[in-house]
Amino acid sequence: MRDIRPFLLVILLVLLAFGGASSAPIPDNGFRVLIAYESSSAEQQSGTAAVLHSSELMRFLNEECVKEEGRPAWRKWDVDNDVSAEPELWQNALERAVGDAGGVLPWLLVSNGKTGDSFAMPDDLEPLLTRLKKHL
Amino acid sequence: MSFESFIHPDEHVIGDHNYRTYADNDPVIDGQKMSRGLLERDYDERPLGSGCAAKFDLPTIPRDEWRERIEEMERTKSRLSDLCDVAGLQCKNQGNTNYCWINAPTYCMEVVRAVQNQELVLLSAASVGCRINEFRNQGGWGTWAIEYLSRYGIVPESIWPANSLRREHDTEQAWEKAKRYRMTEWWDLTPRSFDELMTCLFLRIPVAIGLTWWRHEVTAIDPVYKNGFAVRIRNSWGLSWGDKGYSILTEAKATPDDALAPRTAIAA
Repeated sequence: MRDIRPFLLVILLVLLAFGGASSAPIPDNGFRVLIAYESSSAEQQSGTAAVLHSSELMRFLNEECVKEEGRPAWRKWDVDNDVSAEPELWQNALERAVGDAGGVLPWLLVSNGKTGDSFAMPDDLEPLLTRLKKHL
Repeated sequence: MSFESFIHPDEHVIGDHNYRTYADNDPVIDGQKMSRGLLERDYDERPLGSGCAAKFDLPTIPRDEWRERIEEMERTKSRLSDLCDVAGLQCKNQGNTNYCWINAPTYCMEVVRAVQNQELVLLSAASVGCRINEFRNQGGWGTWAIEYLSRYGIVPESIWPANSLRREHDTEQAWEKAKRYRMTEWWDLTPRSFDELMTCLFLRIPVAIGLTWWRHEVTAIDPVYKNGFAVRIRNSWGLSWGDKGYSILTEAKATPDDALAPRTAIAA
């Protein structure tokens, strides 16, 4: 009987290499958050807008996100934004968020390089902060 | 509902009862005479929604929801002014340039960038004014400015000082840098529509409003309720005017003769 152990080893290595990356929506070390939204959405409920534009959320992200050249690594982008001048990491993140959202906006990606989450923005700030803090 | 907005004691409240004081005088602030510079927009030359602008096309938020929404925005500190404060974005100071019509759209662009957590870069209104007016200190209206911001971008103040009309700043490198600071989408609001203005503010989109009565263009930033609906503006006369540049215009005085609402800028 043929020895299949080398093949199993290859599969294991592939899983280790790519399995971790797929669970981290933004594949780089450190706490990062992307919020994708549509600025021209007339259907935007007041509660959603209050969370989306919460200054407390902004403070939290400023404090907790890893710094990229001194700037906290979070973005809040309109899905129509031209982001072609941004690093590929963030361009890919927006593409993934838009894909995951399937039209449900605002949408968030949170990542610490190892784990992460991709979800629709809740209507209340507390549940959102709780969910983000899981990945600190 | 008994809610009324908090108005800071240093904020001017400008309404029908006192607007003449503001309309008739250019103030002297910190020893410097301030200018304005708005010309009335020629809608024959630049019709509503012409050029790269899109006509405002959303249903407006009904007035019976406004007061509750304003209360929520203040309670949750989710107004644009709250975000500007967290981002450390200060107001413009046009000094004695007649470039209010550039400063207001420029400030809108800085606000949009701050909301998106773009790098805090102050942008030089004079760089755009000099190009449009061939280095003359002349008035204009916001559409001219915003079209330029969209096509060519704007030079950072670190390269072209905010109010400098000197030609030495006008270099190829400066305009290469300016390409990173371009506006990409904005709405052209129906003239004299306070409801469209308020809807933009509820969506946290800043609006550059041209006010013929004042011959001045300023940035509308928050919806407000105080003995009626009103708007918090941020002026371009530096931090000593009002509360760090903020003041209040009642509905009658905030209703714009032309209004532009920038929504997206290049992320860079």
